[in-house]
Amino acid sequence: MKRKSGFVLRQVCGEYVIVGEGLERVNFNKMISLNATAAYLWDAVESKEFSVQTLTDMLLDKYDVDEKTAAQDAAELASKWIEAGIVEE
Amino acid sequence: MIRYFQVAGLCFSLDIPDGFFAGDGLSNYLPFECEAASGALLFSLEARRAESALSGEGKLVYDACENDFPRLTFYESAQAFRVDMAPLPELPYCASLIADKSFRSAKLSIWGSPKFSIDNAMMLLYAFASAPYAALEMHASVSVKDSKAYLFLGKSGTGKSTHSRLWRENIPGVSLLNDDNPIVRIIEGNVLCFGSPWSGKTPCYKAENYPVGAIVRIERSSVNTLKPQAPVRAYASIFSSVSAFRYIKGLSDNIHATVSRVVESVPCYVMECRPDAEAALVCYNGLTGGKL
Repeated sequence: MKRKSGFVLRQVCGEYVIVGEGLERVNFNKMISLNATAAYLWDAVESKEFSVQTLTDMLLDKYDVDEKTAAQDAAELASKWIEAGIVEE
Repeated sequence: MIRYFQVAGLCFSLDIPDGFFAGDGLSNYLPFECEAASGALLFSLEARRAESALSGEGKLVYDACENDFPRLTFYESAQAFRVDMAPLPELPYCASLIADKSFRSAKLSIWGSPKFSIDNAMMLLYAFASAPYAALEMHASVSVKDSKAYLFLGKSGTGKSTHSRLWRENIPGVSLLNDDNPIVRIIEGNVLCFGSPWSGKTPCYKAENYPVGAIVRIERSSVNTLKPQAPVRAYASIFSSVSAFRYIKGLSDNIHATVSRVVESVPCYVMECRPDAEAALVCYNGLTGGKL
């Protein structure tokens, strides 16, 4: 999957949100809250193809977590992003 | 004749032929008129009559076409933006604005309603050009009490103006600063709300400013309750009320920075309310600790 263009990660009072900006996102009127881990992954997959496995590997690299939990979290996050319409499959 | 105006501390000019308006077409600007500025202008606009619609140039980039709002159609070329405008989506275009990419120098050709065209062009240029100066052109109704500004935000038709009126009718010493398009600007760390020459259907054009006491999102309900708003929600609420023009690259960064700072320094609330006197009292008491 791939990040759709026009979505920008912003920090608001210490919290992370994704906002639709730019011409192609002018009718995107919601904001998506992220925790610090999700924000890290969002930044890390900018302008590249990624899969649930990519996210899992990044989680394993960066955090002290077992593979099963990482895979589960990565899958959950990816489906959330797809549902929110901010990545394309 | 070139005339100068200052809104929220930012000066701009309008070059308009003498006798352009039959009546008092610029009366809403008079409280803001100033001497020629010594420094750089926020923007300069030259307005002229045109015989008929100009033939367009550039690539269509955005068509803002919403019921009950002016229609703005944006074209972009290598050097400029062109914005064709109509008072409502169902009405024909009446003017065309051609501006440089930073919206600081623009020409307006008008073949229809001059009052709408000038106001709309000035608001648009102001919103775009002021963003780097920590200014936000808001969609809000603003009441003033004890020298503090209280901003009421909300979607069209939720009762911002009504809530403002209920404050004036039920709380002693409340006045209206602006009913539709105030300017919020951060100056030396202070979040201030300024009146403007644009106030929707209510003629209220005041060259005054007050520190912002609170920002309140108005939502219709069967009860009257005031609740504090979490920062991210407050950010979303304010962002959606800014004449943001998020589709112009670079402006979003400025607006994000200003809105974030506003959220950090001003108390933000949601007021679920009925359009009645109790709503004004519940809101006022909750915001100020008053006992009315």
